[in-house]
Amino acid sequence: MVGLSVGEKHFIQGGIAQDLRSDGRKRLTYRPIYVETGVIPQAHGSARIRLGATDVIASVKAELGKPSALQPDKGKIAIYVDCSPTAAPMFEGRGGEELSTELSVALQRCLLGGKSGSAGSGIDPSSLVIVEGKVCWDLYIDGLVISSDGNLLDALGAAIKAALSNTGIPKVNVASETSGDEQPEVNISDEEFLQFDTSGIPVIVTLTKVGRHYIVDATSEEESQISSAISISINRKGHICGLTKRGGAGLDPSIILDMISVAKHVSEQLINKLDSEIAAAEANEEES
Amino acid sequence: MAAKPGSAPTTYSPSLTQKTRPPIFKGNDLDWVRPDGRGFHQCRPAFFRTGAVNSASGSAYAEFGNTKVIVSVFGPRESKKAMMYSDIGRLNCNVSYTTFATPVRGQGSDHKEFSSMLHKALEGAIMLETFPKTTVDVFALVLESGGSDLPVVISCASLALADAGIMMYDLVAAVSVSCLGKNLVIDPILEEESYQDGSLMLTCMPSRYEVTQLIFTGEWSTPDINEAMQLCLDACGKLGKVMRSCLKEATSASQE
Amino acid sequence: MMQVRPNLDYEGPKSHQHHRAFVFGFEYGFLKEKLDQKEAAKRANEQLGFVFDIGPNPWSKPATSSFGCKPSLVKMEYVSPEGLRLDGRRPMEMRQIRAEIGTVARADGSAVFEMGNTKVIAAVYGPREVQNRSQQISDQALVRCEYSMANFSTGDRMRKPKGDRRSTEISLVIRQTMEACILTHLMPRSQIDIFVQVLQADGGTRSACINAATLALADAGIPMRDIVTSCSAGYLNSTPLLDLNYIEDSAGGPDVTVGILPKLDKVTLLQMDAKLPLDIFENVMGLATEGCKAVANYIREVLLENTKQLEYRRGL
Repeated sequence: MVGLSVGEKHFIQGGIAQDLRSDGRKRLTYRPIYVETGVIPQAHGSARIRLGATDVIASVKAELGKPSALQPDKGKIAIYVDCSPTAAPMFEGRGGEELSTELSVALQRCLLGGKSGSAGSGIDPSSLVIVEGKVCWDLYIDGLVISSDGNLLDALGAAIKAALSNTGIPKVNVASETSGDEQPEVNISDEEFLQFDTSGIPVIVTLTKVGRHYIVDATSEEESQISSAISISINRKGHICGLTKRGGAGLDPSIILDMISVAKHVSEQLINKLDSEIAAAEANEEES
Repeated sequence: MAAKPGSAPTTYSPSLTQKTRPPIFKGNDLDWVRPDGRGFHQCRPAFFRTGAVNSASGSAYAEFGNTKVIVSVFGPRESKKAMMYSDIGRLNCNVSYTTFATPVRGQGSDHKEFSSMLHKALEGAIMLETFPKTTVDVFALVLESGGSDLPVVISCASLALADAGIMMYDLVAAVSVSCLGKNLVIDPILEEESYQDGSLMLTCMPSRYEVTQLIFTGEWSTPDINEAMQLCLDACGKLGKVMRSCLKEATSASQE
Repeated sequence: MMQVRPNLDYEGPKSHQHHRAFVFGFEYGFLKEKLDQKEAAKRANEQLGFVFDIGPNPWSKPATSSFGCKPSLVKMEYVSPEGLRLDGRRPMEMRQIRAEIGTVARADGSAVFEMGNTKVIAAVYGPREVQNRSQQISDQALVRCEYSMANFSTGDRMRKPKGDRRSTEISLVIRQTMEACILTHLMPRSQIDIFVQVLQADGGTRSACINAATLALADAGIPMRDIVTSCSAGYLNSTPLLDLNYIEDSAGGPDVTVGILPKLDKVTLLQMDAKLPLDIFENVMGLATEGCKAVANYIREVLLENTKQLEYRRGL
């Protein structure tokens, strides 16, 4: 995908070993993050995140649906990611499908937590229920990769976090109490909106191991040099909410534990940075 | 394989004992028993057999309780698609479910990601540079899904690869752990998986003591991670021995 | 706000092909006086033995409520007696247009083009080596195009499989239009990829895509005869309307999409999917052409500004 000469590879690896990467960053520094919220007016919430040349959009749409029979007290949340061919010609046709599924599954795992839905989930699915067993909100989170320069997972995770904090779900009034199997009639208010509490949504930190060192926020040139990478989602409490190892060679268990502790450290700064950027973007949107 | 009833009835009469399972999990009480009577840190008995498919270059069958998996390996052979030249070999993995694998017919389709996870778990163990320009196909079929499907598929696939004579650094053993309330249960069955608060799957090369794939879901604190990983690594080491003895048996049987 | 008011001395002729709709509308209005609207729809339905789905409420503001549902046979008023359209525009007024160059950093050329609520991104890769050898053309460049819509681009969220008939058709239209203006003979044995991604769809995506693709091609520095610009026009309530939005587009009336090479004054794209008397068609097409020219002026401004910026950055 990325064709690099031996000299270029050596340059990148050497730079990482000396803690000075080819774009002047240190090993554990992110590229500047630009957040823009409310970019898709039709959606209930949306955000666009730019990390260097990586550019992603996330949108949140809520539709009224029926909760599943197995979990009548919970709404449904689904995450889908699409890789637009504008990001890279290789995503043309069905070319982006494999990466799209991989990203969707990884995001689902990192942000939505376990099957029971209570632990490690950024969004409480029981808050989406309107009438138990009958009506609930189905939350569709769509990600779109517009331009790709490495570290898509972190960017998408951040975009979804920003989009959710931008989301207002219409308040629903249940018109009348119905009994039995009848579907209750509901009124969707177009004035009152409910906001999500997004403080519990984790951020995703991908640590890439190049040689003996770890780097965050790898560009696609750097990603082509990986020996292995781990994506870890961490919430504000410092708890791990999901982890995926992304291929490559095997790692010693002690190295993984070390990477987790490094990721925790990095995540604190990232959460603070992201929260302030989101707040700034929201304020900006309201002004204009 | 299937438990034989004490007295063989002359006519077929289905017993209803399987249908009335006790609820497996109540609150945070510590006294609950796992539905199949195992201890929390006790795996299901593992059964492996190589050479299950004659037409494949290598194959293996694995059975962990109700989870039954068959994996066949083809190749190294010419890549089907016209692809660019590469000086290392390619690994192509596919995991599929039979229509009768799950309690509800044909519900095994929401496992699209298993193929790429199998690929990632194996690629670190295979010496791809030993078969340049060619492809090795790994096809896994879950005959019956009884929980911990992916770990069983991965372990079974590495055995099938060994049976096919593909060069590997080590066998890959995989084990998963579910977090139910405060308890960690190893090698969860389907029911336990549907109630889990979090899960961890670890695949490793036991002799090299290297992790090839690690997946967490749910919220975990650091001490929990340490404990769960240690548990998995330990179980992987033991599972590796079982797999190794299966291979040894197969070769000694063929020599005779 | 871009406004186009071409000086077409055109008076909307009194409708003849919308005659039936008028009658029906009248009947419906008559019933309305007695009954509430839902009842009326049902009654009308029964009386005529006609199966149609009635929109949510034809009298409420359609801007939000009828988004995504086909207006029924009930006559809708697309142009108010005061001569204003549903979104407040005049019949010969265009939506606000905005363009930005260089939005996809890794592409060779890229642009965003907005027409009101319609927003598309185009990215151009190439000229580069032909990926599939069998498609290589020995004396000219191979131009390829792919059109895709984001899941969130429409009012109702839908997950369409890639490569459905509509997007294949639009891909083809864009490819042919762009191929006509690129000097393909200058780049033999090479390939140019144009990818357009619709972020928001509110009518006129075809035109917006072509305009975005033009800008992206120019940004990529690909030699062209002229820029191509496109605009659509329709004919509703016996009034020609410039630059239809989604509601007007789904009204089922004629929709003429025109693409022109403004400097050469040539038409490269002309599409219409309904019947229209020839004299009216000329007017509608003339209106769309005027729209194209306005877009061309804007695009030229944007390109000029972009070049100035580049010059400034190079310190010239």
